[in-house]
This record gives sequence, structure tokens and C-alpha cells, in this order.
Amino acid sequence: MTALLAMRDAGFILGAYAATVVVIGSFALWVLRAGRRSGRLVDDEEKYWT
Amino acid sequence: MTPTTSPQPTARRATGTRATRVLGIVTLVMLGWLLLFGLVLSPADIDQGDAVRIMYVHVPTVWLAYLAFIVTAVCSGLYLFGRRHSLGFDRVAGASAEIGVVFMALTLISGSLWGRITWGVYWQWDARLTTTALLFVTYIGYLAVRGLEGTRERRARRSAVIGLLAVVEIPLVHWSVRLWRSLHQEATILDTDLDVDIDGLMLFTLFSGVVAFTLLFVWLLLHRTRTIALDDLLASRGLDRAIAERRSEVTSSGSIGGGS
Repeated sequence: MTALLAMRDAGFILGAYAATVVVIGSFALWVLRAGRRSGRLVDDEEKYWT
Repeated sequence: MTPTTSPQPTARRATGTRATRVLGIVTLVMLGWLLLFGLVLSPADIDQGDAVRIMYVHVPTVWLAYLAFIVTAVCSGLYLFGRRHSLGFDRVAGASAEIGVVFMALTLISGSLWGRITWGVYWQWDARLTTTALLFVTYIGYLAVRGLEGTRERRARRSAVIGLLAVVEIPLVHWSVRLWRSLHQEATILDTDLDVDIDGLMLFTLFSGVVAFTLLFVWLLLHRTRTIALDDLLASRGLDRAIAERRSEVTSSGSIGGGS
């Protein structure tokens, strides 16, 4: 961790990685939650993937 | 006396299957691998220094945004020109565009952070940056059109037309660095002479990023398409219920009217 923070322009580099992880993580969670919410209201027989 | 058992409500499944769970785990491992190589194991560049590490997330996100928009265009074409006009293609097109917009947003964020280190500013109205922003805004518009009122068929038709037109911007974005004088560096891998000007470990890290983000794209696309299918099913049920209620209202008011 110390080596990471010692990098030149560490704030920008780590910021780019953090933004990627946070944005993708939030989107993935939103997708999963929306699927769970809608999935509860539909019988499994009507889901083409089950 | 035998005890009576009431039937237990079975938990309904969401959008996941065994295959998506395995894919999700592999994707997480690959993303961890990318973090390890991108931030720790790969060397700093002679010219760019550690700023080159941003490339390992910046380049895969833009490639995946392109892929997502191409998938949208292909599915739009299959919907418009296919014999059955299957709404399944429309759902994949919509889901892929949503994912593409997320990847494109990340491209702009990571690119502006790289620009701040390399050029000293977060943003320049340079050809590559401007055309990329235009592509991003176009697909925001595409998603806005998908949200407009109307039947699913009408939504599918108008968004398919936009999906086919918008994809034409991708070559413009990719070749903008050659068409105009640009601050942005030219392609390292997909350049015209097909000569890969990059160190082996850097290329490996970049390739890992592309693989990790491609797996992530497939995982997200499967889940999002299934969610849209569920929402369409629920919406059609709501419409059927509303029509049935309206019919029963008309029937009951008709019978009252007829009786009086």
C-alpha cells in the first residue's frame, strides 16, 4: 500500500481505479437488485432461463 | 392424527443461474488479477511514468463500450430486418446500450484523470475527446428514446433505427486521431501497420483488462436482458389487468343502463 501511495500522481491513478470499481460495482448491484425485485413477482415457469 | 402441513411458498428465482454465478466468480477473479498487475506488477513507462497504469482500465472500458454499441446495432438490425421482429433482440440491444454508456462514462473519467497528469488539464476540446463525448451523449439520447411512452413494438422500432445510426460514430471516434490533429496519442495495438509497440508485461496486463471487462460485459448483459424481459412481462400483465378491469366496468355500467 505504501508503494502504491508513493507512486507519482498516485491520487489520479488510484482515483481512476477507484472510480472504475465504484461505478461498475454500483451498476452491477443495481442490475442484480432490479432483477431480484422483478423476479419475485414472476413464476419460475415464465422465466426462459430457468 | 396426522399433522396438516401448509404448502411452503417457494422462493422465486431472480436473473441468476449456475452459469452466471460461475461467470461472476471468474469475472471477479480476473478483475482482482487486473488490479494486481495494473497497480503493482507491471512496470512504469519510460515516457509516461506511472500514469500508464490508467491505460489498463481506460483502454478496456472504451473497447467494451464500442463492443456494447456494436451489439446494440446488430440486435437493432436483427429486430428491424428479421422476419419475426423478435422483442428479444430489442431487449439485448437496450441492455447492451445501458452497459455501453456506463463503460463510456468510465472511459471519460479515467481519460480525464490521465489527461490531467499528461497534459495538465482534465479536458480539451480535442477531436478524440469531443467525438467520444458526442458518442456518449448520443447513447444517452438512445436510452432516453427507449424510455418514451408507447407500445413495446413502437419503442423497439424507433430505438432500433437510432441504434443503427449511432454506431456509425464509432469509426469516427476511432480514426479521429488520424483525421484531425489531436492531442490524444494514436492507437498502440490497432494501428494501421499492426505493429504492437508495447512491452510484453504491459501488453499482458492490457490483455488481462480486456478479458476481465469482456467477461463483466457478458455477465451484466445476461442479467440486464433478463431483468428487462421480466419488466416487460410485468408491464403486459398490468396492461391486461387494466383492460380486464375496464371491460368489467363497461359491462356492469351497460347492464345497469340496459336494466333501467
